[in-house]
Amino acid sequence: MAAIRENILASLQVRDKFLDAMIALDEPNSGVMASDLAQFLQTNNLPLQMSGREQELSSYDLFIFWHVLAMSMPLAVGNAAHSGPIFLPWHRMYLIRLEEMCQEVLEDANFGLPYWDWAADGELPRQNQWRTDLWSSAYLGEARGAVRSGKIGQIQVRLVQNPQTGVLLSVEPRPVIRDSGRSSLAPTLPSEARVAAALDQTIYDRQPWNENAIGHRNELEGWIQGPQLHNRVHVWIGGDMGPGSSPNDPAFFLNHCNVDRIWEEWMGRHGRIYEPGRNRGPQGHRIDSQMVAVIGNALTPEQVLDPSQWYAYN
Amino acid sequence: MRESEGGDAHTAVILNPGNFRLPDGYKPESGHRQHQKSFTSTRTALHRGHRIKIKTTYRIEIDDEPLALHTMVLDNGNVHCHGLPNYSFPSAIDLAKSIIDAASLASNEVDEIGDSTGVDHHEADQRGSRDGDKEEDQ
Repeated sequence: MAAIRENILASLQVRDKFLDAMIALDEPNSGVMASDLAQFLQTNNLPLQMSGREQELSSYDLFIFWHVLAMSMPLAVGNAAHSGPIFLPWHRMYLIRLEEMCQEVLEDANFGLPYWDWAADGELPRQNQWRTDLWSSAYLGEARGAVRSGKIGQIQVRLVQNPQTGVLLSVEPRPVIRDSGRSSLAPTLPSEARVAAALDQTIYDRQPWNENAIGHRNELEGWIQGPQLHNRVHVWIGGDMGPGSSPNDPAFFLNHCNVDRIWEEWMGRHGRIYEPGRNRGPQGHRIDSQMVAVIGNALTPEQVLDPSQWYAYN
Repeated sequence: MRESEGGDAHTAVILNPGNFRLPDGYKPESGHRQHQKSFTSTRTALHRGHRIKIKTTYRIEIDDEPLALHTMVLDNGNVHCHGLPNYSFPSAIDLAKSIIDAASLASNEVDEIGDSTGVDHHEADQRGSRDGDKEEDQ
């Protein structure tokens, strides 16, 4: 039976399970040391560098590593996870693997990652958007500053990418840091109107396939008149949601679950279609391109186009 | 690579070099992790039958240290850097200021796992662009 993904603000049970899973996965007991990741990068001659503290990492930290690694791999357009058609299917695969890990630690095969309907909050007055229940100690904790309250207050950040050098640093464990609603680039959350505009796009993606393309993917990723939608949420929250190590903030997964939900709604309206197809468009972004994975088997966009074997949205 | 005692079955798959596959179309730059210091992006457009082509090269330094992550200009004129992958800025100065702010979250005082290959990643001025065009001074 596939998991059901719900709005985090609509189910206390889902909220509690999500928060418990985050804490459990953040225990530094993965058996993987920071030096192991550095060695992996060197062995594979990968373009990402690491430095910093030797420490045992958590399973959650490995998702940060995976995200930064994918972003460090440039393709003909964008990289292995962003700024191109691969953006939506890669993050779908990424969320599936996190969801599977959550199911394991919770011993609940039916657990589904929750989503945050940020466009609903985007309709609130600006000054209220960072003061909703989502940013209380019962949910994600402080919207601004170090997160020290509630269950997310137990989360420790250990891997951070330096945005100037690109080096992935293993740092002294510290709390998640946010700066919600303070960026002049994104003083407010995305609006329902922008979501509607993304859903109205009839084409998934097209040439030039990058940040300048007109299509659903690029509208949803948020480059058109950006930052919008997905990108806007990253910028609005700020802090640890800024650099490539943004999955350090569990809000990342609530954001991407909502992004994935919108994509799923788009396919419900326009069909399970994906561009570019086989043997066309930029390599690494095609429907049969194997996506970069360090956790679980690597999948293709074709394999995740229909997620019904894993989950459905409520 | 030690076996995880506290982790779950998925982690046993992780980081096995034999299982990791590079994405199609990824081209490792020659040498070991080249250190690029400037970036050229090209914008094109058609207007009334005329072809427009704009090449922009950025070399951004903060305290004399180069911004080493790919930086480009989008069609709308905004500047984007992979260091802040979800952002685009109206000016390169705005971008640099935000890079400085974000870098404060990545402070590190010790290096116990640093790259031990001995390659000097700051050696030589590695110029180039992703589209293969020559750098042009602006």
